[in-house]
Amino acid sequence: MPDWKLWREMARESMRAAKMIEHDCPRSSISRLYYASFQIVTAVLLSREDLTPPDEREAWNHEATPMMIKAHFSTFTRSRRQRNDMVSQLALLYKLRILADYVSAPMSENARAMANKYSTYLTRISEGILQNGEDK
Amino acid sequence: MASETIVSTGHSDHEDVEEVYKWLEETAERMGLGAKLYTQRATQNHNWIYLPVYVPGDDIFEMADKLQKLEDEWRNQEPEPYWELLLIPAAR
Repeated sequence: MPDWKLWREMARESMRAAKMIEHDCPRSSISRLYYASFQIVTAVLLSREDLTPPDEREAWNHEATPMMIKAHFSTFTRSRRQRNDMVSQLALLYKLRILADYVSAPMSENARAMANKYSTYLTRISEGILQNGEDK
Repeated sequence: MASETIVSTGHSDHEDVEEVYKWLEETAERMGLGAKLYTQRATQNHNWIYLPVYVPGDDIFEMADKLQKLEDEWRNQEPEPYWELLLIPAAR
């Protein structure tokens, strides 16, 4: 079983990298913000001993991770609205990451600002869940 | 030969998915998104549908935002829909 604490460290590193390159390499920064979010959500899922990624992988794949939030974050947050917000924000970051890496259309400041806002939100919620688990 | 009893509910999962696509087409048109759905390339995992969709836009945030608004419109319905959607950006 992968160590969720290592995934939390990966997420923190991705977030640090995103901040370091946000002005010089905005497209790559968006990709790092998505991965920071994906990795911290994965850390939360791995912290639950009853959940195991399929096929001996270390994590659920990108498309399945929103599904895992919807199905399993009710343990951590009872609000359907908050779970839907988390799914929506991770899904938007996923879309931005694909578009930033594969589409040559311009990237407005809005893209970076929203990616930063949503990644910060997902990180704050997920870090809080992990901290609560450690405090018990 | 063992006999088989087939009970028809008159309502298959396949038909349900077609209804989701019809809703998406109609809603995308109402929202003026200019979306093109690639339903033949859609995949499913449990009750999730992963659907490639192209939307035009002047910048990548506009494209992502259009797709997400459509996805959220589906997700936040009351009552909660059985099918969940993840719309994936696709090339034209």
